[in-house]
Amino acid sequence: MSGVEDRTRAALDAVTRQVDSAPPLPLPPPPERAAARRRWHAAPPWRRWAPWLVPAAAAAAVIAVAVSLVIVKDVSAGQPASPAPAGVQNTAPRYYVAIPGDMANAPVGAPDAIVGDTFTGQLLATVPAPAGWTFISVTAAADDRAFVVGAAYDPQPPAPVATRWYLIRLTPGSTPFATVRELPVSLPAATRAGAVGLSPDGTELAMIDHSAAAPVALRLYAVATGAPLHVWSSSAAEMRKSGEPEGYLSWLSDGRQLAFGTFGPALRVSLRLLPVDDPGHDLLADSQPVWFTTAPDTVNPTGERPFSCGGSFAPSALVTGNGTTVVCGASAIFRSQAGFDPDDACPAVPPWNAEGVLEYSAATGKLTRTLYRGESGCTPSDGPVELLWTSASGDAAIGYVDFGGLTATMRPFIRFGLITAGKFTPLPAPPTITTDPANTAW
Amino acid sequence: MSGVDTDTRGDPSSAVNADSGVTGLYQAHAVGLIKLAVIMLGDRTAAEDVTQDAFFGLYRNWDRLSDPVNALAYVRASVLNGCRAALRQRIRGARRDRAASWHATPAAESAESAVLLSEEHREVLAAVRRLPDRQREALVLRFYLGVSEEETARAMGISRGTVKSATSRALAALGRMLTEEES
Repeated sequence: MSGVEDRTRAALDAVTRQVDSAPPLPLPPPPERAAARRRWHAAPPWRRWAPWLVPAAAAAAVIAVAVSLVIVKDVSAGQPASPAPAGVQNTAPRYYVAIPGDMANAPVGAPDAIVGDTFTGQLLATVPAPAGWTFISVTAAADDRAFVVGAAYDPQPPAPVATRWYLIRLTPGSTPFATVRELPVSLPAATRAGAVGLSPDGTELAMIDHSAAAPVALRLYAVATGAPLHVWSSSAAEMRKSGEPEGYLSWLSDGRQLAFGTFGPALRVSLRLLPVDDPGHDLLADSQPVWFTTAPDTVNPTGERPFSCGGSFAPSALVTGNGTTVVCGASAIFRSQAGFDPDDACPAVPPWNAEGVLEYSAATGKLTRTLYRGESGCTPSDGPVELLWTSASGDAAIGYVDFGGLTATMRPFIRFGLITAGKFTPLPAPPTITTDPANTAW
Repeated sequence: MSGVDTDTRGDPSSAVNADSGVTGLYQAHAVGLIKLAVIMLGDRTAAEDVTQDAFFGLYRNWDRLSDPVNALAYVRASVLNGCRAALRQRIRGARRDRAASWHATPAAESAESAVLLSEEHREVLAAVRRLPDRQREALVLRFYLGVSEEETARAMGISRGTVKSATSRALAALGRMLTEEES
């Protein structure tokens, strides 16, 4: 254990040493419990567990699920009630699928997936998981129509693992608006599924998995038949040297390359491209690194930090669909403790703290432009800036510029929206309780 | 089921009703959660309030838990959220009242004032407080309290990879800050 670790533990122990007991917890008396319970039951279902839903979406239908074919009843036949804000209609996919948040089940996903309108926040359809199953992840094709949700049976915290996958297909203007079917994909025995990615045309499913036989493997499956198409893996030794795939997985627009991220020694985060037509089976040797970030941010004693990717966290970086650029969430602290002004107004002279998105060349790894930079004022920038989607060209991205928190109290602090050159357009945040890209897909 | 009081929280016949579940969880974990909140807020009274609020929330939502095993994760996330809300309110209060910066309000040091801390410990704690909130959260949960990576990710609302790197970066940043202060 390092000196810093020892010193940190000792200091934290010292400050909490006197916390050796907790005050009594006065639970409410019985009559109030029953009354509270009746009030809860009297509330409509959507209001009980999803206070963030747009009121117009309260009429969302709950859908009966058959074993093999699931029909999703839509709210409005796929026709949004409200138009999208001017100027953004064609900048991002119209629909997303999200695993909504529920604090009571936060660690293990949700019993429903929802289809939402990116620009209005309207709930368009609700997809319940089969009895006993919970949806825990989602990925999307590039066609704004096909999505794959991962499901776990009776998931146990802290690490639920998907063992079934369902394809949700949207047909706006039709009835039903969406259909769902289980995919005939099954993993090898004793294998634990990780990130998944649906090909742009929705015909192939890529999946990173873990097992004793191959510490990390990337497998391709045919969506229609579940047939395994190919597998790549690398040895534990190679991954210790070069980095272990850590959950980011996406397809390029041509449908012939996969992008995945690795987290390696010295806090090195890399993005790599793998041609799916590659006949080899070595995940690291057969892929090419296109971008990386290394050393921790420069932190001076005042806590100030220049505008850079990731800020204090691992960068949220995505490879664009055309494969030529990488977009990355960035932040900066210029007004830290030493410079914090307690007045209501920030000092007249910038720089202030900032969040934004930077763009890098996938060919050279060099910074090419600042897609967006917003001054966040005197509140110290916290991050992470989490990007969830980027356009094929990298001219637009969707993500969290600031994530307030998991409760209704904190949600007003969320800044979620569309990022384009020099501009941030707020959008209704999906009803998830994490910024994890696996919870919302476009 | 309308007209039927299905409140099983006080039902002694249910296997794990809310009373016994919440009380048992509180007895087992409240001290650890208060410690977490003390590190975040620097104020024991506020830390106890945040922790108790989290358990009250658990009690209200007990019947919605798919499994009582989820309860600890629920309260842990609630405590973190409560701390974040308290810190935000503290910042806004400092601006409104034109008080000292939120990093150095009297409340922020009350936990340390109540404890005789060495200069070394004060320096380390000051460095921990200079970390951004979420980096500090990851550090305390993973490194100090020993919460698993997955549980930390769920409690903080971020991905597992981010937890991993946040913890590493927090330690690296602490190392630099402490080294620079000594030089």
